[in-house]
Amino acid sequence: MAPRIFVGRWDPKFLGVGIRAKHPSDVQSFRLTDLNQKPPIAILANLSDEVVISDLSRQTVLDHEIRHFHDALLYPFGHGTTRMRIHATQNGFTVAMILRRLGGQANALAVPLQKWLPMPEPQRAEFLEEMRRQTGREQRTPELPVVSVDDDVSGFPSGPSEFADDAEALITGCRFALADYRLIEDMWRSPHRDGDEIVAPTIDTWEAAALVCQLAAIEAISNAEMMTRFIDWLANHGPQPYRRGMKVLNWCLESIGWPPTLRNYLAMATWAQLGRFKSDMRESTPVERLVSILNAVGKGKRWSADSSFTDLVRGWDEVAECDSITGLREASDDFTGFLARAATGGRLAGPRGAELLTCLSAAHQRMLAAFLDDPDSYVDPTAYRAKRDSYPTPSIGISYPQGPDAGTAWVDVTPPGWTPEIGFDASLDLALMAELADAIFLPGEKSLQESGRFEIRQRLNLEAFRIIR
Amino acid sequence: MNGMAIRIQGDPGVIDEISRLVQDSEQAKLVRIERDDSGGIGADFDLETVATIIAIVSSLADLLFDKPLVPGLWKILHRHKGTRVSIETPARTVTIESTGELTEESLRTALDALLTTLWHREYSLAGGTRSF
Repeated sequence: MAPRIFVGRWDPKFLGVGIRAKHPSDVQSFRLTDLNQKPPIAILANLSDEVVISDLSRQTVLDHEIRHFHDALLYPFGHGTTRMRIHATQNGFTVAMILRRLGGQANALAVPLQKWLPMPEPQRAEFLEEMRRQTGREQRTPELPVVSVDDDVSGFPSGPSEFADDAEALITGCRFALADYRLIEDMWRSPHRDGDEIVAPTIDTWEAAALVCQLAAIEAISNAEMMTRFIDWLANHGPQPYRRGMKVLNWCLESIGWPPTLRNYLAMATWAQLGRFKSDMRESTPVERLVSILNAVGKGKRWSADSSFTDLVRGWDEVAECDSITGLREASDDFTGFLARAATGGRLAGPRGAELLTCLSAAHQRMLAAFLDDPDSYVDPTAYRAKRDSYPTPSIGISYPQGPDAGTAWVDVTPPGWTPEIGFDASLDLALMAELADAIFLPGEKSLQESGRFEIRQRLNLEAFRIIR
Repeated sequence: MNGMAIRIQGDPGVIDEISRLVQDSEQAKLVRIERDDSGGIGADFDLETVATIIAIVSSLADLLFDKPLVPGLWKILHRHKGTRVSIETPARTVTIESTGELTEESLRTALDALLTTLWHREYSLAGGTRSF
């Protein structure tokens, strides 16, 4: 059995650190966990892996998640996924509100729309007939057009669009939301050509970097032996993204002849994630950037592990034929511009939409400035941990399901004394919109919260039927 | 086989055992087993890996109650204390956690929720030929 831990979740629907719990009692347990306490090593040494891994994970989950929060504020990849998440949420939520307004004869909604919209009419009829057979009543779904899985929305102008009537807004909203969700998934998996095998998706490096910061925290609160035990457990039993991510970094370090220290892992993972992610999506992925280093190694190129990160960026950029820091600044200008336009126009729904976007922009500016001021500390997990006050502080929210016939509860568990850059309430507004949008559009247990059907019934007065394929 | 698709998720070892149970059943056809390690649209710090069974069932009621699925499922869960398994139909998801208190009867009651939503009206209309 896997160790029981608080599950950290980085998803910019909540612009802080999200913790997914299974029971309400976890909230109290989390609050009572003294994150500064050092676990008694002598006792840990005699306990089973399951207990030790659970304990160390619980104690350091924030070290892992806060790195994601900072990386998302810093890297162009983070800006891209955050921006697309905001788009998907706004468009998906708008679709939901139109469905509610239109009402009509509909009493059911086939979800996820990611599967329903591309489904040809005969298959839709077959699905509804099966539901009718199972439930004994007619299922009437809202009229929605068939949308191709590779629907191209590039012909629409960028920025907000206004529609005179709900019917047109509904169709276009569905198309936009589908495209938004598709792009987010594509970015996490690594943009690639059809038929290409994805060796190491973007998420692998993303996770490996946060894991390295967590390992440094484990070493700090216990010792190197406990950290090694954690690594060994992960190597044998951990989820694939962690294992693949660390393997890829290991391979790169070995190839350039560097010792596998936490700093060296993080320096390489950080540079790998500085891709621009604009027009050159594929070349921006961590794996493509790392391949450029390996190709140069094959031609005899070497770099000293003792170099400053600025020098490493210069050397690695040279072989990758890019300029990471200029790209970072350009991406920052794009992101800041988007947030300013969206905030000024009041485009994001919710009572605190403008506030959220403005705070996000400020947090991003602070993160970028802190990184550029001292890049070496950001790639040294020990120095990074010691300097955490220099970086933006997240709010911490725990969510837990209140049961299959109830919604998801969110509780603010930001530790006393912390001053988050983006407030919990503003972050929560976006998360609640996203929960409804996700429930309608996304498949799968991981992305569709357990309460998805409740959200649809409660907020749209429609019975949700999930297409399982 | 015609019928309704269901999804069963849980720890990979448990799912392997349940898949054999499904394969042995005449009421269900195993479509596939998959491991979901992808982050979808976000990233989890979650040490659990989840495996999924997709199966087609001709009659969920028959699968759950007329055949020896429940005793078999209970034995598997009983062997894997602390594990969680979710069973999903298009209309509902039931999550079962294997604690020391889980009995065959309480498992049957938990699974009944899958039917309450789906079959209530059908069986009412059928004049109470079955009662759940």
